[in-house]
Parts: sequence; C-alpha cells; structure tokens
Amino acid sequence: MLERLQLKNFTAFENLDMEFSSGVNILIGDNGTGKTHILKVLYAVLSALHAKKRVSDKMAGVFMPRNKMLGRLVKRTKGSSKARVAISKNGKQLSLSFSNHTKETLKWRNGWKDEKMSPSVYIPVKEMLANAPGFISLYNAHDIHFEEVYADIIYKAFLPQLRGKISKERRELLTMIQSIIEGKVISKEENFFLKNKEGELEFTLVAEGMRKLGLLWLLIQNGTLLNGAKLFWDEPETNLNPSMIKPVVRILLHLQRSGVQIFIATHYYVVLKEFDLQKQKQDSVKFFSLSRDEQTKKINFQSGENYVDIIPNKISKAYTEIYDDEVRRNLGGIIK
Amino acid sequence: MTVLTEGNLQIAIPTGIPARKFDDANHGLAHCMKAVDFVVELTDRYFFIEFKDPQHPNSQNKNRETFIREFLAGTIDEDFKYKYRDSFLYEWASEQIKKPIYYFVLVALDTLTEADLMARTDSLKRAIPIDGPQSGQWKRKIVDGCAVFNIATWNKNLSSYPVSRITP
Repeated sequence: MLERLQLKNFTAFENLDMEFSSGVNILIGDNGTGKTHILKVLYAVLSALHAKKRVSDKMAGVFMPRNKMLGRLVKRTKGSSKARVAISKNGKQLSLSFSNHTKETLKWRNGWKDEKMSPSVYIPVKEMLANAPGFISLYNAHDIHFEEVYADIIYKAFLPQLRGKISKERRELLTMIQSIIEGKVISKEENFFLKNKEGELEFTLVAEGMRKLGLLWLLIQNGTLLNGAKLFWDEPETNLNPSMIKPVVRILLHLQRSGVQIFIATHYYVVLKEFDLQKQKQDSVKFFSLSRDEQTKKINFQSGENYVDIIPNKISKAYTEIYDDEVRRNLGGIIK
Repeated sequence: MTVLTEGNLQIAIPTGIPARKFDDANHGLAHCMKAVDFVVELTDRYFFIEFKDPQHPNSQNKNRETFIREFLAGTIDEDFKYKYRDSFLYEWASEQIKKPIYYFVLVALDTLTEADLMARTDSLKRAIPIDGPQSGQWKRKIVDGCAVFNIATWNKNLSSYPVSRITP
C-alpha cells in the first residue's frame, strides 16, 4: 500500500505531508487546492514504474506542462527553486527531484527496486469509452494535446478478460454492477457496447453515468482492479444521479475490502455521506480536507476518519447556508 | 415561563404565551388519531411541535442506528406527516384553527448535518403537502411553513423557545 506522500514546491504545494489509509482516501477542498494534482502525481509515478516507462515522460504526459518541461511543475517563485516528490510504499521510499531550470532532468532515488508493482487506474472526470473509436489510433499517430490519463483509461478498458477462474469476490462485484447497468460490456474493434437480452447498445447511446459503471465492470473483469491495485478517481459523482452514488460507494467499499487502495477527489456531499453511512468497522476510510490559507496562500489540509471530524468542510458549509435560508423562509418571518 | 417536557427533552415557552401538551391523556382519540407533542399559540400563529429523541440517554445504539437509517431514507416522514394532519383535523373540528400554523419537528441527534435537515425539510413540505394541487384549487393552506431541526439548529433559529435535555 501507499503510506505517505510528501511534496515540496510541487505545483500548488509548498510543503505537503500526507499519510494515507490502506483503504479509501477521500480528498475534498475548494477548486485550486490541488486535489487532482495529488491523484495525478501518485498515478504518474506508479503507472510509469508498472509499465517500466520513464517517470519523467509519464509526469509530462499526465500533467502536460508546456513543451513537456518538468521544470514548469515546480511551484512558481522568483529565481531558482527545486521540487521534491517522495512516496512511501510498504515502508520503502521513492523520491524525485527537479529544478525549474529549463533543461533540468529528473533525479531520483528508487527505494522500490524490489517492490512488485501492481496496476494503477486513473478515472478522469470526463467519461472516455464512448469516444474510444478512433481515439487510440489518433493519439498514437499524432502528438495531440490530450492528457495521457484519457488514453490510459481507454487502453485499460480494452485489456482482454483475465484468464482463469473468477474468484468469489470478483464475481460478486461483477454481479453487483451488472444488476445496475442491466447487462455486460463488450468491445468490438474500437467500440464498446452494453449487451443484454435486448441486444447490443452502442456506448454513445448509453447514459454517461452507466458508462462509468460499465468501465468499473471492465476493469474488474479484466483483472486490472485486483488485490494490490490502486484506483484514482477524480469526481466520481460527475454525470451520476444522486441515487446512483449509493451503489457506487458500495462497490468502492467492496473493492477496498478486496485489497484495492482507493483515492477519490470529490465536491459532492452525497459521496461523503454515503461513505460515512456505509463504512463498516473493518473498513479503512480517511477524509482529507484541503484548504488555502487566506493570508499565506499556502495549501494545508486536515484529516480524520469520520466525516464530521473534517474541518474546514466547504461542502457542508454550503449546505448549512442553504438550510439556514430555507429555515428562515419557513419560520414565516419570526427571525430576522 | 412555561416548561413542557417530552421524554428527556424540554422546551421553555416565554410567560404569557399559551402552550399545551397535545398528545396527553386529554386528547382522548389516541386510538385512531396521531398527535404532535405540543401546540403553542402566538398572537398571530400557532406552532405545532413534534420532538423525536433517538439520542435519548437510555436508548440503545442499535435503535439509534435504525432510526437514523429510517430518518435519512424518509420513512419517518410518514409519521411526521400523519401526526401533523391528524392534529390539524383535531384542532379544526374543535374550531381551534384561526391563525396560520407552522410545524416544527425536532430530531435530537447531534450527527445530523444541515444537509440532512434540509433534505428532510423539503421532503416534509412535499409530504404534508405545503402547496395544494397545481390547479390552484386550494384557497387555504393546511400548513404555512415547516422545518426539521436538531437541538443546535433549533436553538439557533428559535432562541426564544429554547430546547434542552433534562438529564445529559
């Protein structure tokens, strides 16, 4: 499991030191507090090592700094400065550093040489499977300006079904999703279809929320999301009706129980509340609230194992304000 | 000041404002009609008040969890709705409805957030219902306002009628 992330002068962060839960890690915070950057930096490093690719190339592909210059990921300051990223996994640390000099290359100390690398999955905000036809060929043939996470997720969805016997856990998860999407997902050439008794429906005609669940189904079926895997999901609530959040959280908790470490960034109250309500004693869930100090502009965070413990909670605050307005209206003017 | 109690909860009503416990022995129709806990009569309105106390010091954890689940799922709204409507009918038949009525439900549970309370307030408004049919056929309202509170939000918004626990 990933235990810790330390960032120094990296993108928006001056100094960040986060200790993760082995299960589900949920990041909340205003826009611009770096939630997505945390998911991306972890994903870039892990997926590069898993695919035996250069970490610097992956970082450039995932973050897309101009001209692929890593130096542009150093927190902007006057003069020369150096960024450091350190990730601890199973008690061993890997660290990277690079400066904001134009031709700087990445220096690293890899404490993970003997570590077995499991797959990592990054589910971006925009659903991509419906756009799969032609995308991969185009992406491979041309240097199109698209974050690499979008191509990665399509590749992972296309991986063939895992061979061998399906474990009880995996079968349960697959059945759970099938009952919601009312079918299975199949791919033909570069197209995905939702297949059920009524036939095969092109993914472009399937509701976007259902496509997201279809993606999870594929990733579980092809063995990408198995024990040891890491799942990074940016705003899982996007395009999902609030009533769908409950089953999604149920699936995520189930994945966590089967050994998948999960990182989520969310703006949505229902996601937080569902985790709060559905988690069992044995589940490991940790909430992180990122915020920017108004005076120093530094990004800090606070963490806790219970939803109510996290302060500041901007999501909750927004509801408080609406509730207060609502109550005021319903009291018929007896409070000012 | 009048103090009315329901289980482990009490509400203090300022002197001069008539307030009574509604669902006590004097009600007489408990076998067929539900009833809110208190009726408070202000110069220009009535408050119908219902207390629910899942966090009662003697309540079992399991019962509390069941309540929270049912409350958040909206099952308890039904109970709140019938309590209000039956109380309304009872008062109507007694020719006691001469002013607008506001219905306040207090759920004494610290863990309820404003988001939960808001969702339940909306749902209660729909259940009673606060608005008549879209045809606009209703000439009168059966409730003028309703809201769901926990102890903290009650005391913040209705500070003249403070609610507290009798034993912590």
